[in-house]
Amino acid sequence: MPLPSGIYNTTYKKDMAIFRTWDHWAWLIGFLAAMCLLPLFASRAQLNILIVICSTVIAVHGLNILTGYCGQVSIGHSAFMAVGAYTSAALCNELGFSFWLAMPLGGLAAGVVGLIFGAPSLRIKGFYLAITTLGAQFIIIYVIMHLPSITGGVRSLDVPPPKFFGFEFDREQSYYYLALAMVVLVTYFVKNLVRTGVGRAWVAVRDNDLAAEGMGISLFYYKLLAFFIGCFLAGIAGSMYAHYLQTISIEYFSLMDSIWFLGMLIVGGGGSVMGAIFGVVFIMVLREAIVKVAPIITTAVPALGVEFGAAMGLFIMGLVIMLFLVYEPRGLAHRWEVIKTKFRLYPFPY
Amino acid sequence: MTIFLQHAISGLMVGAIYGLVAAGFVLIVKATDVFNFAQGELLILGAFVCWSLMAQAGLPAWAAVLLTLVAAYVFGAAIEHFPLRPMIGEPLYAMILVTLAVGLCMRGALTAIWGGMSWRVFKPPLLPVEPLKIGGLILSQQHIYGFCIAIAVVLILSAFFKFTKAGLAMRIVAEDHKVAQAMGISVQRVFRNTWAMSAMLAAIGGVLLGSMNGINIPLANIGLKAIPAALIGGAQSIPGAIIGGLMIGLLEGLSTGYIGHGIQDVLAYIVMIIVIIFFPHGFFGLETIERV
Repeated sequence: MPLPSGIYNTTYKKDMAIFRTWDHWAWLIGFLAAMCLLPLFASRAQLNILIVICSTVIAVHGLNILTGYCGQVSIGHSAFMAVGAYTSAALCNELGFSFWLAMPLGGLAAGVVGLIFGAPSLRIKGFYLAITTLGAQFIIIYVIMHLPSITGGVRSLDVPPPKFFGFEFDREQSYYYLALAMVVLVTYFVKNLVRTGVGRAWVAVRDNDLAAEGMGISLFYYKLLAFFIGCFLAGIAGSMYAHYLQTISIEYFSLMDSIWFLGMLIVGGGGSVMGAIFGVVFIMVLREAIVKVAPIITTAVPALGVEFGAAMGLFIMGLVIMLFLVYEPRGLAHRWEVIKTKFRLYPFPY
Repeated sequence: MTIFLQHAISGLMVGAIYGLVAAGFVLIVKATDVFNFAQGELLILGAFVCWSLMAQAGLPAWAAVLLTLVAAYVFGAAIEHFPLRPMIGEPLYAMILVTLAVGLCMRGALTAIWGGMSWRVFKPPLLPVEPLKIGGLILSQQHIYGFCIAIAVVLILSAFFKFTKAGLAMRIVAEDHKVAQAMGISVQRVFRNTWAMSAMLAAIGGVLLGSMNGINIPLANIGLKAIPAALIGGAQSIPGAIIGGLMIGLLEGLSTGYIGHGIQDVLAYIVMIIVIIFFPHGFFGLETIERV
């Protein structure tokens, strides 16, 4: 990225810094402070959306590692989320674990299940692998449905809220801070992970796996690592989601959700950490807008019928994804970079 | 034994229709290297259009089916032209997502036009309903007709690929775009025809399935069943698609008969995963050698 004139990288440390200048830090701290102050002004419904956005961002970070960085398309990401959600719920319900232990264990379980479904990636790739993950979506949900003693089967399952020394995170306000902290933590982790040798190896595998193998990158290790970390984050997200809602059922983890995750990645821009966040925020806000607008249209024009709202939602979402694919295939993150660079270099063109 | 045969045969009969839908899927993969997730939506589109033409416009069955095929042709060509042509050369997950997005759009539009969950049933039925009794077996005539039509369509398709000039053009485009262009074949036109034909196959499958069980939006999930069928057979082989479809159908018949309802979809995917681990290109697929 071009730096504004007068700013030079004089040390290695400076070169590697994510935030290079004081005003970058000021923007970051200002933004985080604004996010922290938000519950003072936002209504419960708005906080609810924000918390769902937070847990979705964690899941999409995982999908971004797997699909955006390592190039292994997953059409079953919400099933891995379900594994995390149900594992952590079952650990809390059956064995009385605390949330702080159950959440990482849920992530771990999702990661291990991800390894199982990622194992075929060593022999098959591309579309065939994508369909294997689509199979994972059906198989995992089927298994959850048929273990009613632990998961409640098709009925919903109650999940206790997280507790911290007697303080319960059972309201939107308190849970929001927890979710925000997790998002910041995961974003920090992912942003740095993709800058290491591991991240570079993933990009090499994505761009051409045969060439990557020729350069001495172990496909076995890096593909499975991507599956493990990607699904681990999905599991964490699932656990966050479950303990927030305090009740889960398999309907929250459908194939449609997996498709949304991919759509969010496309809209935001795969292979970019900011892209995952942009995509989730964009799609979730759009979805909320549709939910708000659809009843107005249906009451104004009753001839359209009751199902018009849902139909319009699907149609607009599909259209948005299609338009982004055709006109902005690198997503919002790319557009953001362009704007940022222009702003930084102003008034010079480069 | 009779029960076994009963389950197996009824499974195979439905399997032929899965094979037909899978053949549409394979057709697109063969010529354009795109994996079309909107196949199920194309299927219900055909079924709904045919139903509307018969029940609402009052056309006779043969005219309705013919018009449905024309509509499917136009619609398939339109899908190829608008979202897919600008996408040529994009990475795999963009290609997967664009067809998923087409599917979402179609599902939304179809729900808005024909309603989400309500069943539309062909009245009078397109195919005779009285079951046949052969020995101890009870066979639905609809299933038999459906099976025969599906097999006949695939045979016609194979003959088309083998003996006509347009089929030859499709085969060469599947082989190599540059060579095809050097031979004076319009790759664009072949792409358009491929999508259109695939949409027609889906529409035939939709009308057949719709005439058996009625039509509603969730019927589109059949498209997700055609995918394992296509991959088991090998994503580039039309006879493979039919064999894959028959296998999935057989599996479905036997598993619903002996294990219970609900497992069939999962089993199809489990079998598919096992098959492609051992045969990464399916049973009849094209094995390609990759170079850096």
